[in-house]
Amino acid sequence: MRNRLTVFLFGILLFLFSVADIFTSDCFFSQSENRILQQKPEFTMKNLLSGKYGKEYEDYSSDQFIGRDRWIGFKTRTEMTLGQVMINGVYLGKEESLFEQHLSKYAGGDGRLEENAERKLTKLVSDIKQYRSVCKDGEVRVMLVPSAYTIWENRLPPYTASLQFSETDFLEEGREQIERSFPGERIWVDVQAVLAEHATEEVYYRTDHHWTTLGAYYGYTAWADSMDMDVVLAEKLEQKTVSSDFQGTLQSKLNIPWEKDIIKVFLKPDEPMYELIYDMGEKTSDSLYEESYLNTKNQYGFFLDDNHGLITIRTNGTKQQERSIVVIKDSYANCFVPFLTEYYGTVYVIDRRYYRGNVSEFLEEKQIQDVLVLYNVIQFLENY
Amino acid sequence: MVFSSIPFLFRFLPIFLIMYFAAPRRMRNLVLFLGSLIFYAWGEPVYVFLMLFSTVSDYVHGIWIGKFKEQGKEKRAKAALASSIIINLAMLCFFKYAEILPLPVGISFYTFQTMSYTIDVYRLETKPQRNFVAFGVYVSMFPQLIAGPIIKYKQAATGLTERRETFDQAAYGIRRFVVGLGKKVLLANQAGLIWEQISAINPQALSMSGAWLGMLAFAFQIYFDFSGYSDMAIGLGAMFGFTFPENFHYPYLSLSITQFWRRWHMTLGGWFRDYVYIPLGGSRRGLGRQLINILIVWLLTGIWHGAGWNFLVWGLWFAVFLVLEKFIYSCFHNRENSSRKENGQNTEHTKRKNPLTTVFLFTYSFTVVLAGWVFFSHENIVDALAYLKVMFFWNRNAVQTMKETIYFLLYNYRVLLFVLLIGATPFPAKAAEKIKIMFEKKRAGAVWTILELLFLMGVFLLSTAFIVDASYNPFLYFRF
Repeated sequence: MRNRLTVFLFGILLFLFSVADIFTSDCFFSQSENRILQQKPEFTMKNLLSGKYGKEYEDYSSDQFIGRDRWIGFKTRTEMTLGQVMINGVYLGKEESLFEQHLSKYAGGDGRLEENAERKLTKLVSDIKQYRSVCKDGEVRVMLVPSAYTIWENRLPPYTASLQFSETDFLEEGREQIERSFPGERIWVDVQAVLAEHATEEVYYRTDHHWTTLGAYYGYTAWADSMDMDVVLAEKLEQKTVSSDFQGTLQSKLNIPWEKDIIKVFLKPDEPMYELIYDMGEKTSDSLYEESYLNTKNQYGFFLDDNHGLITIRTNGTKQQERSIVVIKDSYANCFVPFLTEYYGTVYVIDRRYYRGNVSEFLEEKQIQDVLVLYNVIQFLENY
Repeated sequence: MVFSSIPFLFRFLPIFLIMYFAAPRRMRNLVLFLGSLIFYAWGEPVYVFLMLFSTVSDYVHGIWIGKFKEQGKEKRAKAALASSIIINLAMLCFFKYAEILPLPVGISFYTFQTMSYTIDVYRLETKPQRNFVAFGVYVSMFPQLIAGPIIKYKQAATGLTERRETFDQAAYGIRRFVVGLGKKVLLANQAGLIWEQISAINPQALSMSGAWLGMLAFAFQIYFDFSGYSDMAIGLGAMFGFTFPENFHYPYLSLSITQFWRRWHMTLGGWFRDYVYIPLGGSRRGLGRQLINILIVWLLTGIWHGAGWNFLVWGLWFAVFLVLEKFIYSCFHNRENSSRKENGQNTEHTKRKNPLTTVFLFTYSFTVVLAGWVFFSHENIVDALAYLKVMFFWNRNAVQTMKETIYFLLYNYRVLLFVLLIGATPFPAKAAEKIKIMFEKKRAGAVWTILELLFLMGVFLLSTAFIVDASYNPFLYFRF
């Protein structure tokens, strides 16, 4: 009886899942994981013989397995029940905050960040030299923004703070190198200091790896200070909530509902007219924000229509209509750039992961005054 | 294809089960043979022909040897046997040690099986298998094709042609398979995460406690990985009516290295015992010869695992302790015998060791095994020695973050580590048995049935969840 029951039950379980899985249609894109899923591999003799077909089919079948999101959630819940504070490379910190794990090489990380540090800084210095030779009268600024785990270190789970790659040490080294290479000039903007000052506020999302619009605002004040420009006070801006159910990339890795994040925009009382041109004119818009993203998983894409190689932003009615700036950036800048429109008739936003042109030639061609390099530290070390 | 993957669990296995049990009994070997070829060809589309070549070669050799033996042509039989062994070893050595082409998965396992066949036929311990499909099933049977257990032909012979699949066996098979799957996916892979983090730290910077935790994690990983795989193989075999030999018996609880090797990868040890150690004379030709035989066998055991020097050292490491144990044992044994003769007393009570001795012997044996894993896990001997140095001598140069790394790993994986510790002992199986008996005594066997089913389903579903989200799912014994 017991044996027959075991056989029948497992028989049914196995066949039920298998049949159901075969008949569910494939997804191209996972909303919850925010990535393209493996598609059915092409069956060719060459793929089969090289073993590529077998490998891709395995990825395909687990990526497209029935109820994938729920399986991952089930796994996360189990691991949480077992008391784990690190799941899938995400730390489950205090105050419902999630953090990416970036182990230092002394704690078992792969050492890639440490390895890249010197190379990327050298590249940064030589790029700045080029920019300055082109934009002789303008200002060049560098903003490297630390990740949430550095500013909210006290929210990390026990014992983990000193295991993380030290962004603080890296930023210290970066500042020294820039100051040594360009003595007496104000190129380095100390973003860490201003964020640390406001660490008790919501400067990062809990479920996403980006800073919030508030964090970007504090970053902007530091930039404006170093440029000797007047800062628009936060009180003068309307802080409008555009989403209160944001679940970011870190929540995706856990795939269970988490504390919801709020996305805000800071609007001027008299918002000027904007004209945005994406890439080579493939898309135009009259807003810095793209509402449609708020209905997707990738709500952060709301800012500047997610990532583009080149965005041209023309603003009517600014004080200095003829001035222009180029922002060389990663996605951290997307919620930061709106603060710049106050000062420039034209803002060019370049993401070098997608932009294939030469930045110096671009500066020369468009006769740009100022340059801003804005990256998150980890992104800078991985992608710059 | 690996067992712990979606294509195997939810494509291959259900389709194969239907085909197998829908087929009339006399066709089942053919289904199993063809199914196994597809299973193997999935990951090794080219090397499947190598396996087929090996199958044909030993099928023919087996028949020749049998015929020559029948005709009394001893020399020719011997020559045929030699030819079979040379072909097998040449194949094994070329693919395993020349390192020109990638290693065909499972080659170390199936060449050892086919060799056992021709040797058994030569020794008249079994009849040659004339049915090619039945022989093909023996060589390529997918449940144990890739990572064992290594089945000697004489153990498998009757099962190949005269097995009966029953519900009881199938249910037993399901239980074994699910437990094995859980051991692999839920325990081995997770232990592997701990080892991965510690092994990434340069040995020069490791602390003593870190080195021990790392090796402990590796020991758990390799044990649950390999024994989980063996459980799955035995379970699948049982579903199809086979009885495969056991491969592990709680090896880490051994009280000597001699015992460890009777409880770790038992079928490989058994193979070497039957086909190398005993033919060399075993222990029957005096202590000196026995020690040399031990050395030879463990040298071979070491290099069976791979071309690296580290495996050779690993084998020798155990040989040293085995020899030492034999030596000490023979000293004690002689003294005991003589004292027994003198006093004329029964010394039976000395066989029951006191707890302190047990703890001491366990510590000794486990330490030797862990140190052995250091060689096993480091391809580079210099790295292995540096690691051992940290394990057994204090490292003053340990990095600052070492302490936090250990604390973090212990904290994050506290429950897992506890489960790993308990899981490596017979306690869970014994406890389950006791609970079962308790319920049955109260005539509540149904409660036990439900509990067991819930447990198995939980393990199966959780394993599926871990496979779906697998970022880390290696199979350690695939390299062998």
